[in-house]
Amino acid sequence: MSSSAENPTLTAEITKPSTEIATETAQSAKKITLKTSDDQIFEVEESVAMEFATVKSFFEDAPSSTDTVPLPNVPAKPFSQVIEFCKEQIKFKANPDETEKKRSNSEFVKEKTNEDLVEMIPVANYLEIKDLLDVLNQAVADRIQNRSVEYVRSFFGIDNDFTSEEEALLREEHAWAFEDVDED
Amino acid sequence: MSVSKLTRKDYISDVPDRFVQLPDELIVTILKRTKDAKTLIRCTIVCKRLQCLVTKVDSVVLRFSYPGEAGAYLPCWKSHYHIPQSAFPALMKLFVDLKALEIKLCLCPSLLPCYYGVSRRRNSKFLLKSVDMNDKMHTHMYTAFDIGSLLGADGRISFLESNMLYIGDVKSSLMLSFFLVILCHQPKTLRTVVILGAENYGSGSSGNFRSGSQAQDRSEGNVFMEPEHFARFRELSSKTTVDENWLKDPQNLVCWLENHEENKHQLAEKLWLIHKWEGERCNMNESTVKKSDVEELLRSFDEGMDGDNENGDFFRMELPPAFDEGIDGDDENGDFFEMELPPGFDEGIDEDDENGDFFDMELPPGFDEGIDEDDENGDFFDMELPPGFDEGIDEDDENGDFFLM
Repeated sequence: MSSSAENPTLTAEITKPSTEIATETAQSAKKITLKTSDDQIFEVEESVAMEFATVKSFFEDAPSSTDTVPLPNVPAKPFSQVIEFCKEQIKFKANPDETEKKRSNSEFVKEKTNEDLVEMIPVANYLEIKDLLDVLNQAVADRIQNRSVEYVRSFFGIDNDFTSEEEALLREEHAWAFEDVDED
Repeated sequence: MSVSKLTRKDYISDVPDRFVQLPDELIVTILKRTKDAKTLIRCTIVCKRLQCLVTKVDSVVLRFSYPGEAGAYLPCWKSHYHIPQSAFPALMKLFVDLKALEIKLCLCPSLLPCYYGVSRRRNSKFLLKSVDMNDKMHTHMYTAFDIGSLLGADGRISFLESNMLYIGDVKSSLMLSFFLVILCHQPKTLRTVVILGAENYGSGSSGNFRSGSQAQDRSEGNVFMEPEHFARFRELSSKTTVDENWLKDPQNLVCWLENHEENKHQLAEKLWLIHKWEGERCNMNESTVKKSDVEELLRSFDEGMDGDNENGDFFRMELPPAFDEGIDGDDENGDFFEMELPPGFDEGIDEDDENGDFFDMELPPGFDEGIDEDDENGDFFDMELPPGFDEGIDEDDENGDFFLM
């Protein structure tokens, strides 16, 4: 896939999430305060927070709650990217345009590093954002498609736990599948 | 649920290994989405966890080229990767939880000249779908061949007969052989099998299914007929004038998928001959084709063959530049279509399959020899077939439990 995907493109949001989001949505809708596992505070518009099914049902159970919602399994870095995605998604809710949505989604994953994508998956899963999970799963599938074993290891940050004998044996068994590998 | 979920800490978020944080079911989803057996096999040697998760993938798509032999995985027009057929048994052993199997067959152009009976200007589609594999194994199968054009002029329609051959018999059996091999190696968990095969190796207007017309005002819709319809049409048009209204009578054809674009006033419809067989286990009989069948066939190709085709429609693919020349050049001596055809080959269409026995009727000459004799070169049929396999083909499968053994 594109080589740009490997370059980290971290945004300013990660270091100072609360101020950035707060200024953007200054006087408008109700905001929800969320606290990540690394104790970062995010203030997001209610409509964005309602994209997180987990948070949504939290408010359905306790509608009057004004407390900070703890997200003990969500680190700030992938979370800020998840927010970025959900903000885009909301635009398509008012104005459904499948082609444009597809384009926007592919744009979103294109500029993410492999690490970003993999880190966002547990977050999207935990927050139950189905659309994002679909997009991420497909993006990861596309990126490992026809790549070498070594590439897949580095993609996920996996240590090889096979002995070299075991690995050689497995390679021999399905020799055809190790030909014509796409370049890393 | 949400409150407890929000306060529960399932993941140790500061562990650097991001792979550890991915739940098993999500990894399996990702693996499935690669839709690529080759990638999946590579994943089996990435680490033990991934190896284990690959075996949990319950649906795979495998792409082979045909007519294949000796483990060949030769290229098709689209430069797809084709799995060598000899790898099939090992693949079936790997995917122990396999429930849905889809096979895509790509015609290998380099083998075309030696593949008698195939008209290179025509388009065809094959679909076999078998469900309920562990029980009744209901199977249906369609073959559709583009056999020429119905042209309209002065209110009269005529059939522009091209260099056509009625090749349904040969080709459906070739594809059917994949099904037989699947039956020999299928994991017990397997529930559904879909086999798709299509070709499009013509040039110009005959090559494109839905677009790419050379003449702007030509309608280029698609007419689907069963052999009886076509025989009736030919008989009628030889005696009298057949007008457009004839096509509008549902008794005369399976369906007419018109092209409703504007300015397409001149009738030039592609004529497809469609067959359907249907049955349980291998008791398959010819069956009447309905409009919904045609739609199912076309839909399978939209989903199945185009899914991985970023450049758009499979049937709108661009042919390599040298391709047209290749065909036209070869065609000039005109001897391609004069290659030895089995006796009675082009009458195939007019004869009705009266006893309706699929396996008895439809196997091309040499099919069972293929199993018995060609085996030395280690070809497709070399994979262990069940005992009595070739008898099953030669003899009538009267009790219909051939595949039960």
